[in-house]
Amino acid sequence: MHLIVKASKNNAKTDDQLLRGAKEGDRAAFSELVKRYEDMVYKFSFKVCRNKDEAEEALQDTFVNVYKNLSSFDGRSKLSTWLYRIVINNCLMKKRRRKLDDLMESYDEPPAGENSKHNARIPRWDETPADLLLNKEFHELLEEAILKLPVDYRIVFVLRDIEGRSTEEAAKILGISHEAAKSRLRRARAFLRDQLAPYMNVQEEAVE
Amino acid sequence: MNCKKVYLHICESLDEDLNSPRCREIRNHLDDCPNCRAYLDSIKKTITLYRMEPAPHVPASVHNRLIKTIDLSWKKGTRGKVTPKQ
Ligand SMILES: [Zn+2]
Repeated sequence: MHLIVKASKNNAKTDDQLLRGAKEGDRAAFSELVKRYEDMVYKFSFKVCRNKDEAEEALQDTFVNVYKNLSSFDGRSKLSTWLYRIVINNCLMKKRRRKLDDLMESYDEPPAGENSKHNARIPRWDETPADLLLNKEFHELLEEAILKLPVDYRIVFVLRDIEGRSTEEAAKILGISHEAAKSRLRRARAFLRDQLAPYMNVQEEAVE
Repeated sequence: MNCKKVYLHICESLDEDLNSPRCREIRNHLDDCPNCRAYLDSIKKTITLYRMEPAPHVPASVHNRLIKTIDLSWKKGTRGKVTPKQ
């Protein structure tokens, strides 16, 4: 009875109140924080790792680290920013990071021929995303494409375009400049688009 | 405004204030340039595809394991004692 009352009280508390409680040793407050954020952490890890086991490992590591570092969280950044940062530090940086900046720089150039309007042909992608997603092979294609994307770029893409965070927050999470985050995002999008392009059901659009 | 400039800005501008001078300039270019229009469209579609992909919720078994792990840490009382640089 007593526990139930406590749990429902925690329900109504703000993150800050729960954090303060957890810092002072209130286990129920910490459990409530876990409940609030476990889906976010798990989904994010899954979207970046593309693997359920790795996502679970990331989830465990993250909250154990949150617990261990409770006292160092000063509340100046958002809790979600701190969580994302821990996920990335803990698990994703374990991944082999490829030095692919050179390769990714090529995505700063527009597709060939685009500056000379007259011979340029960018195909149109006509199938709707909903139709495409019904196709199992297409799922595998999405998977392959995003796994080819270097993890530093993948993280920015997932944070911004899947999670809907701002590029500014992504920059804070990664400890890079806003400009760098925007450039990674742009390259990541162009990279993925190019990976998918050959498989899209395309229709050439004649250029006058 | 040329295609290269549009290309470099296209992606960033997807949800920028559409009435900013830069966005107006880009929109004017897009009106006249089917290539940039098609390119922007394919970028948007790429994003939509990844956004629409289903994401898993934490399975009950995973949640329970997590709670157990945290209980263990709590019992060991490691809270606040290890502070690696974040
Ligand atoms: Zn153009």
